[in-house]
Amino acid sequence: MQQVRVDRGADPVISPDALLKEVELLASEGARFTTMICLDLDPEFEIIYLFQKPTLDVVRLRVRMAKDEELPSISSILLGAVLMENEIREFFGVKIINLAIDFKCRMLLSEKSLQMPLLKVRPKPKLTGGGE
Amino acid sequence: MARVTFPFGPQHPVLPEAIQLQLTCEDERVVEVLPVIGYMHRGIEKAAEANLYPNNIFLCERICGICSFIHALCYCELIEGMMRVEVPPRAKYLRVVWSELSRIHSHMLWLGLLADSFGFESLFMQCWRAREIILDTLEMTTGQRVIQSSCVIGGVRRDIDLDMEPGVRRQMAAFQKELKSIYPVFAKDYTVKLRTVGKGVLPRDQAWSLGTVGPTLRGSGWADDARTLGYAVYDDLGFEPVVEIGCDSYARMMVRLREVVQSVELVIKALDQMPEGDLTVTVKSFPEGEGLIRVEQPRGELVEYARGNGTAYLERLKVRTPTFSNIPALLVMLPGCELADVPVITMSIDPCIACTER
Amino acid sequence: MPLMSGNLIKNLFSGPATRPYPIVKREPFPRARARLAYDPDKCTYCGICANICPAAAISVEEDRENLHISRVYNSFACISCARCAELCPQGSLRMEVSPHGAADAKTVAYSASKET
Repeated sequence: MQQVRVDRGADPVISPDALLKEVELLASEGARFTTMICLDLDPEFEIIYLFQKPTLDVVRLRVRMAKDEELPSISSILLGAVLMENEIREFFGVKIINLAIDFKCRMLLSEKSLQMPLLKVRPKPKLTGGGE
Repeated sequence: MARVTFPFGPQHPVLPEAIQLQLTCEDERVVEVLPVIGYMHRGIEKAAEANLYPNNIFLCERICGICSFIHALCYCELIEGMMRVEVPPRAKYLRVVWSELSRIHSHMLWLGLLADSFGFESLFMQCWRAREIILDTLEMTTGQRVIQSSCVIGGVRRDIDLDMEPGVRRQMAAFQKELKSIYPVFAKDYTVKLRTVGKGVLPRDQAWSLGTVGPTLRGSGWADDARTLGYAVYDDLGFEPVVEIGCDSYARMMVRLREVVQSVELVIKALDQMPEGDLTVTVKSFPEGEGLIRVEQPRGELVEYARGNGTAYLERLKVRTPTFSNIPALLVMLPGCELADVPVITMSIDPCIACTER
Repeated sequence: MPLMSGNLIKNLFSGPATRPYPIVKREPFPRARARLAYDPDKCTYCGICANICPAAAISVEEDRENLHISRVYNSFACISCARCAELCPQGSLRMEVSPHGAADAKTVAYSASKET
């Protein structure tokens, strides 16, 4: 049977500054990007990075960061991450910098749609004339 | 040389769904490509947080119309794993039967669309006619052709009983007969080979590092299939992943074609070995903690993550669909190809945009 | 295309693969789920169907002032999953195999009500 339950304590938790170094180490071992999951744990974000080793096992890496902190993009090391990073920036408002392809928060949402929809507490929308 | 940038899609005869490729061409040669998505985002992840957790099955099924059963299966296995529910063996076998049937109908649909993308209309019709047999089988066994709604947390809702089983076997035999006339056309036909061999090359190491999954990865020589991880009962059925080493559109087509043959065998084998017993177990508790599961969809590996807090609502449900990680492969495959090959190469990753945007 | 020639010859001499629709109609399978049928005589207004409906197509509305209870079924929202038909303790809901009358039957209807 596949192990479904995730043990939170077993994963390494790192800060955004140490992220690139860890990912480079993993990439040199032949790991590739699977996906990343953003959790809005008020008052901070937890981002789970999933990598796949050539043996097909999944490696998890957790990044804890404050909501206004900047997160470096890993798309320069593993290009496959670029769409997911754009999505997280769009849905949660995580400040991801140095994206390889930048959709400027308009990848899935439009100007008129709800901004940052997956945040637990959303900031009040600015009153603009257009919308609705 | 003058460069021209123009949009390919979102509405193009070859694309079953809306995706735009911004192609930059020099004469007839593509030099740059930028995929633009966002035409059919429906906010399913947000809706999943507002729904009761058993009702999310029906929501997850609607992420994609073609692989709906496998989406439901993935969600159910995830919640069952989080709640430590043991599913009855008969239900596991039935899940294999239905998920393989949906894999066959997804692949047959795709093979037809591929034939359509290089203008082989009669082959397209032939594929879709064969697919009709599978859709009828699904309607006969579950009640609906595309959205089956037959998976629940703790088991399945419908049974393939003794009256129905010979009918399913007859349908599979009829399908195998149809497949026998289609297989050699795809594998050997001169025009098909001319349009697919050597087109859209994705080298083995790049296929890995870009994160591609499913037939796109297996067509480049990696034996990576989530069915080997042992969800449902694939272990007992002696499943082996299909691998091709050609790295081009032809190899990806052959992976899917051989998977259809393999899936028919798996369905028959599952029907042979199916044990007697209950269909469901009663589930009373609520999901708690975190869970992560990988299952194999027709298009590749589907990753689902859920976080529960002991109530009837999930705190977060994340669905990573296979096309989401296959789209970056287009950035490697398309530059350098001729404009006339763009439809075939785009189709060769089997883009499912409804999945991608959720 | 020599590999398709067998098919071509077969198709030349066999009839059309499609059904001449208005004359020959496709029989639905006995398990098919097309339309939700409701029998108000058996209904006890327990509200189970309203609680479990994944699309919120069914609701039971209670008017405490006028002692009146009614069951509202919105067939536009219904996704034909048959979850309600399975769980109805009285058996007043069931799925019909035939989709006939789909267009005119699709209305938001106060299917039934009773005085309490």
